[in-house]
Amino acid sequence: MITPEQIEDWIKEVEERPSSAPLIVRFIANRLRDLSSRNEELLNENIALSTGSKVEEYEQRIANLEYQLELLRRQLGGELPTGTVVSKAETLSLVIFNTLGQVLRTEFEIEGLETGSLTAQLKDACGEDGLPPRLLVTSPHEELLFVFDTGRTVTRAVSQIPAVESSKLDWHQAALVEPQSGEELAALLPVGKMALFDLCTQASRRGCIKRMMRSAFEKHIARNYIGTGIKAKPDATCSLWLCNKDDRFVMASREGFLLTLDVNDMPYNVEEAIRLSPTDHIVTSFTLNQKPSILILTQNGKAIHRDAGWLEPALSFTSRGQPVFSASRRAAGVRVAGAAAVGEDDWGTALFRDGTLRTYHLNDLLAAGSVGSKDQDPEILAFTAFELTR
Amino acid sequence: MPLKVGIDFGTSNSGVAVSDGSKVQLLPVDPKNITPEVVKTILYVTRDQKAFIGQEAVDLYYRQNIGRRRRFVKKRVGEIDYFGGDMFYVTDVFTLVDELMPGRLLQFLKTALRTSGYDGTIIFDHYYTVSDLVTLYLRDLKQRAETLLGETIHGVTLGRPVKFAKTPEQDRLSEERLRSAAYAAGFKEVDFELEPIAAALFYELTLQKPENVLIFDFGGGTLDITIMRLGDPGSRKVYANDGVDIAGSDFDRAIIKKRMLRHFGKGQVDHLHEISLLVDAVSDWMTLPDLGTPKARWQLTQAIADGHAPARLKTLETLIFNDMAFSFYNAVEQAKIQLSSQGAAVIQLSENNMALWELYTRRQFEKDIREYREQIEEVLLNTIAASGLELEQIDAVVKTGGSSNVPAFSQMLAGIFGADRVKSSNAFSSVTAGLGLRAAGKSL
Repeated sequence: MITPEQIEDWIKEVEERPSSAPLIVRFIANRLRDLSSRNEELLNENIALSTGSKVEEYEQRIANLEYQLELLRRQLGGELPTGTVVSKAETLSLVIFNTLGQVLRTEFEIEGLETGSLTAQLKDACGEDGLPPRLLVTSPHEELLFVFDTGRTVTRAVSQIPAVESSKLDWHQAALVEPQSGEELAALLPVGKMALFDLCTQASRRGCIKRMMRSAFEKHIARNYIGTGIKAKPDATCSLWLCNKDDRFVMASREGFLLTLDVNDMPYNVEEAIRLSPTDHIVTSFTLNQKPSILILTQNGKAIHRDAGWLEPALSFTSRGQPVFSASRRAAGVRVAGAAAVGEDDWGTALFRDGTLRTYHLNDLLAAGSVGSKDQDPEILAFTAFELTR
Repeated sequence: MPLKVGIDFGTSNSGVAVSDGSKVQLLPVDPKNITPEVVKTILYVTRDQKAFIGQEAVDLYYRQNIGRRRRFVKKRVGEIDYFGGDMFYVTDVFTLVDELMPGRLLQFLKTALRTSGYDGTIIFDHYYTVSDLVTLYLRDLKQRAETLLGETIHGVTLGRPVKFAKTPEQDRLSEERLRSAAYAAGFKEVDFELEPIAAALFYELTLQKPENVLIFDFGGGTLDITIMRLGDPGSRKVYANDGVDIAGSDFDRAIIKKRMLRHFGKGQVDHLHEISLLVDAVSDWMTLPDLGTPKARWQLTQAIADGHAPARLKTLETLIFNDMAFSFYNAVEQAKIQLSSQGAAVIQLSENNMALWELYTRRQFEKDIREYREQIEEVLLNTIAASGLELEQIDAVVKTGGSSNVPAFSQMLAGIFGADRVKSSNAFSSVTAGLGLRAAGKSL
């Protein structure tokens, strides 16, 4: 903006030094020429916006809404259980993220995929933060909620994250959901189907939990802040899950303890729900969602299968949880890499230490009892399960 | 005979000269520069600890930095002990580091030499003292000169301001830092000459008869005034000398503070404390790249979304996050230089959708630096008084240094001495040439 004082200054310069006048006139004339040309460009852009470009954006949003409507229709018709669900017909998106906010996405087809076959290859599995990344298999039409350890949230459509060639996944190609000063990316939750659920659960690494009514959760997301979900630092949120009222909540610790609670018994305020040893932490949390069983995958590739009936809801918040393997195996270094509520037709994807990502049909995995890798000594860093619909 | 050169290590520009005692040759040490005999005092250190100087440093900086990506990671920088609740605690201290930063650009190394409390800086995990940084610069300069001359350089005569710093202790420290840097750069023999005296030696080559001369050496970092008798090697004499640390970089800062900050939201976002601090930091370009943190970006994004001067804050965001600081300061400096020969200049940045445009007149510039002009006039008159000479006894006033071309100071000198006695020496080369003569054994 040009102020009257500036114009006055130019006039005084000309009065004081008339030789400056031609130069000042030339500068102002050049500026006017540039501005009028820019003005025309902006007018053209306005016309394009009001006619063409916006249409494409709206079409994308309509496709997303139609997808959510379809899910809702199936839900009401009893065809579709809740959980991480992807249509068999579509290309699947495998999302890999770490605490630095780096997010990789690759696409793969499930049709014709053999169990245990190579889905993707990640260079430098642990990335630059030195920690195992986490996985999510979802639909390209989903909306993702990125949750930072400060409680701040960012929402982004899966389709907005550029897809990278599956054989050459590299953290240098990752999209960045930029943390603020001192922040770390803590969890990721698909929220495209949020309207179908009553509640959202939040669990922290040190076993703090809380639940949020969906209406409150929606308001929190609108304000980009859902709360830290912890009692004290350096604890941090590690998992969020959408569920309904009469569901059963499960969280699994690294050293092999499961804590089960009826969702209705979960607190609205953050409470520490399990007594973990100083070296232990929560790996994941989920709800049963009418699934018949749970699967726990250990870091050395063993698949531990338990019927849902085996889970005993904790009677108090001072429980140590149910052990899923013996103390001797724990002492020998066996640890949980991932866990999920599963059905026989579900699928799961595991990330190995060497950066390979393999996808398994869980029926085959449960029958074999372990990941059937050709590796002699596989080390699994992360695991996620998902369900396919027709 | 071992080869010795003269080096003017200036705040903004440097140069190398060699002489046989009667003739002096300025070496074209920066072939990429418009004037190859002048090399910008700019150092660029890349992530692999390689150092570049002059125009090469500027070009590489632009190539690697403009519009680049950033990725901040938390990095442990140490730990602190503190006492609270009858207990001692130790806690780790972390900082956010842009791990994609390809290099670090450093300017005003000479000013850093005299800055007390500034001992050095960490560049990509490597700690450099101020002397280390100057060593990198001088080593490259020495190698370039040796390539041109085809032989090894043994010694150097370095220029130094009359007053390097405000106190004698700081003055000694500054000279020692420069001396140790020169030794570390590979010079076996290092001595110093005052910059105005070097300029005087060069001017003396043009004299037919002895004269009382006032050297007005006004560069990028300091103003040095020396009054001496020249022209007869048997009766050379320094009557008085003095200096003040006002110069070109202060004028650039004055222009930015008084004219440019409003383009970044000054006056409109003063109630937003954090944003206001970012705006004020624009006048110090060395710190500006460090402000490009995720926190700052978040604050700017929020303020823009909330409708606080969005266009201006967007300009600020572009300046910080596209590494445009150096381009911006260059634009300001260029406009200032243009005002030495014309009545108006435009400061403009249009890259990366910036729409910064300021028509700046000489009248405005003279108003903005009036305070400095008054201080300089006072130092000048005090130096003349200390020399014991009457104004009429000073035969010539020799201007040298880039800032001596500012018309306000030419007019000031002409007003005091009369226009016919004010002479211009080569603004960027007379000190270098004089140091070359001094290195060849010529002295006052």
